[in-house]
Amino acid sequence: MCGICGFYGTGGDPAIQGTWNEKGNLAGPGVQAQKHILSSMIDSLGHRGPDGQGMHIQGPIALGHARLAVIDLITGAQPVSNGDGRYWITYNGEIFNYLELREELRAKGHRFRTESDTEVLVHGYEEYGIDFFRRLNGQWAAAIWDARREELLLCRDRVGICPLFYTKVGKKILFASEVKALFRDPEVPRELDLRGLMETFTFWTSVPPQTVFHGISELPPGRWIRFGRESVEEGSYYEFDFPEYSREDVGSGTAKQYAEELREVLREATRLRFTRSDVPVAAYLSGGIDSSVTAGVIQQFTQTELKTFSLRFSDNEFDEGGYQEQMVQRLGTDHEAITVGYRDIGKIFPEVVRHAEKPILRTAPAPMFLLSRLVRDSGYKVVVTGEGSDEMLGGYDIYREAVVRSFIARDPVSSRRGEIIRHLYPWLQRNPTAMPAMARSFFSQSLDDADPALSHRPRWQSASGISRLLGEGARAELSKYDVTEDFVARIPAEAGGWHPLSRAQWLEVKSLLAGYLLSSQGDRMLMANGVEGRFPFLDPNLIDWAAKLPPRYKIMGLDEKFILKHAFRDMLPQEILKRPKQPYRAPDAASFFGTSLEWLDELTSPESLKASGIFNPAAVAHLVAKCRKRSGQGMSNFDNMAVTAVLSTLLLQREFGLS
Amino acid sequence: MGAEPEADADALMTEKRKRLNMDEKKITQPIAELREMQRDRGNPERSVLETAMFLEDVFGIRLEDSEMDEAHLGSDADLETLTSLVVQKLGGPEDGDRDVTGSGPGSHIPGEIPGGLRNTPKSEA
Repeated sequence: MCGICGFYGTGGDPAIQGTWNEKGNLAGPGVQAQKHILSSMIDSLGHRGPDGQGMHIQGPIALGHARLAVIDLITGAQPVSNGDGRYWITYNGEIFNYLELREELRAKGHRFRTESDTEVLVHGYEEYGIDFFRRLNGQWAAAIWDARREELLLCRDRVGICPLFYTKVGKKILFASEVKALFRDPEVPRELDLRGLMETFTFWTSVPPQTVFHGISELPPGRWIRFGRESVEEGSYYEFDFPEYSREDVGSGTAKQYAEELREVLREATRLRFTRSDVPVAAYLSGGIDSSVTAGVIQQFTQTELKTFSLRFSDNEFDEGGYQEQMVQRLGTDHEAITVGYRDIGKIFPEVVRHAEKPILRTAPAPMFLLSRLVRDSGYKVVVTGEGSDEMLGGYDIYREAVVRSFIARDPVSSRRGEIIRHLYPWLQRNPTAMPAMARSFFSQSLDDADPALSHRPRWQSASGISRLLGEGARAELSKYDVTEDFVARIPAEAGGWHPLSRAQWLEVKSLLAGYLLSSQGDRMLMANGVEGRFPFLDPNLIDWAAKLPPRYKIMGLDEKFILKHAFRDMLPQEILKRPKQPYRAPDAASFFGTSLEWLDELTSPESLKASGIFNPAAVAHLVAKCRKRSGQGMSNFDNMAVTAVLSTLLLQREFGLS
Repeated sequence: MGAEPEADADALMTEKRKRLNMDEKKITQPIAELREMQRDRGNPERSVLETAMFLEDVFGIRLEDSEMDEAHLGSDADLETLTSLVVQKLGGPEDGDRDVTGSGPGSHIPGEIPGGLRNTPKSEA
């Protein structure tokens, strides 16, 4: 994984066009300025690629690269071209099946100068065009320049592991792995986008192409966009979808058969991600099932001791150390852990927001930042992690909620059906007053089985309450949009024939996975310290297999990830196998208000709140006072979310100088 | 020639029995897997409601509140009992044309399309 950036002067803009002469070389009075901008863009991505820098400037194109050297340490520098120099590429990511593809391309006459996967990508594009992306098993964001047609193509992996942003200023197209690189061009406006903000306050993330920066777009996962001098063309090479649900499949396979298939497909996905590297690969071990399984499978491919890393919390409510230790003992790994306290999170939070480049509703990314720093300090730069398992194999409470809500929706007046809620969340039984309220708020909303967003509306509605803290101007502007219905309208028409669980999976993958888990909590926190994450559960073969898996093998009754547990029950300790699902969380308000933080006092002063112009100063002051009074302890779920959202938005504004 | 209709009827009955047997296996197998998962877990009340939810989802049937109890769905209800319940809900063995796909006469949920999902208008999807 690396950082990429660049720009394309499509013509007619003196600031750009004047910098290149007829021979295609940089020339003219603006040359130094343009070179300086590209160099500055690359510098801003230095955390993503501390091992080297490269640039290619030709005619109207400037491509930049900050390298994290993982494959082909000697000759893998970028940008690189195909054989005749027609295509140039700057690319971030890994193509795990590059060796097989290279052999195929060699057989077709392609000659390779390096041992890198990058060169395979540019030759494959030369041979097959956009169709080649469908053949890639990997994670990537790439910019490919076609010097003959003078076209710039941007493309991104299927689920959004690697980020890619672009913007247009006059006739200049700029692109980069991170928005901070785009801002190195002074012409790029720095403005908060209220629609993107509202999406974040609803879905926990803006949904690509929307971002929280006005005029800046994020290339959606599975898509490409091609800029010519006078044209823009875009399309998808991949759609995340499901087969039409039919009960004809009942009895056509068994748990035993599917478990065997899963072991095969996950084993191969893990093998590719563990062995295709020229530097040592470590693994995260959270104490949950997913990372325990991936670490366990990795052990099958190595004779040397596997290095594992995990995160612990000084607050027992969040700590999973006991489970981690069990798995370490079972696997016999060389293990290191970092223990994180409230102050650690509060102190690092501004830096976390700077890297996340969007408001965050939870502090959970902050400990991930500290964990990747430990990985880097320990001499590793690649880790295998368990992300994607919950999304593909049915691990989330929101999926179980979806199944339960469908059950209740079939007969809303039934008194018996609602009783299942207490088994969905046994802890509710300890709180007899919260139980009815929770049940009402979470399970009686929009109980229409035909609603394609049945599963997600309660979460969205809860999060969108943050918008009540916005100032009058922002609220007036936002009244023009209905971000929820706009997103629901994107659900494909075929989804009407999917199982309700599949529809919930689609919504989750298209919003939270790409925009938050793989981004704010994933790539951004890993690459902030120059660490690459690899995700066997997001292998395209596993994704396709899981999409066809009958839903009951994902959630069997109320039991989540049934088939994963069934397939790997011999590998995991019983305590891990049978433990109740515990979502990864970190302390929120307590991390800010349980300790003294200089930046917090300054950020929440009446003057700062007024200057921000986004929030209602009185409403925010009230929330902050409430948190302070309790040192951030015992806050409601909503207050924790709201205060984290407000602080991260204010930090983002300050960090990037957003108006 | 006169014996032919009788032979046809016999063949039809045999075919119906074959389909019935095949369908019963299709019904029994998922239920057996659910029961295996629930085994040794305790919490009979959870198992009853979980079983109700599972049967409705997997077979496209609808259960009454009065059927969501220990007697019908609890640990005393063995595979045969649960299979019979599903068969009955799907239209019963006497109806040889029953269909576990949810599109046959046993599909009890109003507004469902074959496959058991509500027929969502495209504009809503």
